[in-house]
Amino acid sequence: MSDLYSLTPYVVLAVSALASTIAVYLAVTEKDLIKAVLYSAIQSTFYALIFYLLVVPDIVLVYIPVAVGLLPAILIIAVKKTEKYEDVGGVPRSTSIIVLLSVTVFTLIAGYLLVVSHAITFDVFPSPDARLLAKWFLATTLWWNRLFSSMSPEAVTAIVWDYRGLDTYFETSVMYLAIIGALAIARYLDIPRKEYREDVMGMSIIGKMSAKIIVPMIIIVAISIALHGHLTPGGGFQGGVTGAVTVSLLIFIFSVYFATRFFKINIAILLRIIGLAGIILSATIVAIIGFLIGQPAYIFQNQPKIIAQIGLPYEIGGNLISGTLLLFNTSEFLAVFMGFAILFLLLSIPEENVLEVIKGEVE
Amino acid sequence: MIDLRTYLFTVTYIAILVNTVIALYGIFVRPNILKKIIALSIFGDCTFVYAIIIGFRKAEPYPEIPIMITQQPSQEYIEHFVAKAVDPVPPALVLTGVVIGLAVMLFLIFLSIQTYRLFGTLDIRKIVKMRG
Repeated sequence: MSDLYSLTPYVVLAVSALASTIAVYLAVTEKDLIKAVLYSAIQSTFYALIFYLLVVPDIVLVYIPVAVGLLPAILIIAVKKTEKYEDVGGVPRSTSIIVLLSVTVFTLIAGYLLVVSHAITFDVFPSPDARLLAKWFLATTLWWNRLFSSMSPEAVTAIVWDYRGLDTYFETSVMYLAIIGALAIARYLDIPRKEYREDVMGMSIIGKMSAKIIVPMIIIVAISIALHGHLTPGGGFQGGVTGAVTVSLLIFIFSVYFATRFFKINIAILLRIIGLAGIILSATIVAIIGFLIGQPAYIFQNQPKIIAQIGLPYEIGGNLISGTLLLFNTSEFLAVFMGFAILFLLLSIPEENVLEVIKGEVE
Repeated sequence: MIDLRTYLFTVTYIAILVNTVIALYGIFVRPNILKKIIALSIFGDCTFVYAIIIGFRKAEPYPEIPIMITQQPSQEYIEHFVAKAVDPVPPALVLTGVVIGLAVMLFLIFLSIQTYRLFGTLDIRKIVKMRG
């Protein structure tokens, strides 16, 4: 009986992986693009289950809003604005067979290299041992010796914002540049000023009423995920994408004119800049303190190190705050939430207003 | 004698490999740009699953999450934690990868909608033949 108990997660893992293969096949071969988007959302659901069974709750929290909520919603808006069906006539059969063969060979080589890089044989495929680096991170994430620890029980957030903080800083700048690119494409566009009318716009009264109940709850959950990021699964990224779901709900269920009562593009840009400035400030706050009191300090320093003996307190009145991790999570929550709010609002501008502006620009 | 858990885990791994093949095929062969973007997002997700699989380990009865459940860990608890918890580095990489992937994907969708506004089609074969 206990054998069966320990086998169950692996069975569910294999079954959801095979089911996701069916969903991927249907998503790629479907000609109706709306259906293809829905099949890819089904694939994402199975992948979320796989992530859960591979015991990474942080990824589950960030993956469900992104891949099941936000990306299908945006893709459906895009399909509604463009072509609904895909024309696949005229692709020669020989071309597709050659592409399929070369892609298969590439994937097999990549998969073999992955197994080799894991330095294991198929005999003990999930290796019972972890890498030395992983053991070091796990052992020191909350340790009695502050000089080697980040004083946070959450190893993933500790790596994201303390051990490997500079990586995350530059990845945030990639997101910053992507949003700047979208803003540059939509530089002359603005949401038309129109009054929201309850009786003609949006979905039925049932959808509106349940949205009115759910939206504040989602925002509270998002803030809770972000602020407890150094203690429990979650953090700024997870809270930000969870909060961005509310903007898409408001646009889909009410209308974009209702959403602009709460989220205006210029205010969203301002709040995002505040979030990014908060990230820079949290990265340099220990260095600034060190400069002021004349002691050596690093950027992205959280706890005291051997040759830089200053750092932020890791607890206030008995509550663990893990130094800069709380500041980073709060700022990143603001930056991610408002960044995706901007993109959603820009995408939901009605097409006839856009075409007028573009026509004027081309001529 | 091969362990049944290893067999099931290998089935998972091979299923994700098949997903990668189908997604890459979709990127290269399907003509519609939005269909290419859907296939690209599936390909990215497969890559994330690979990264997580590298960090997975076999522990009895099942591995633990890489998060301590106490705020004052004893030496025994830390040893138990290091012996049981999965690798926390791949989740940290994938975490930012998912969010940045979404932002880049939205930028691509913006570009394809703009392409449709200017050219009137999303078929890559027709767009290549057009001028200006």
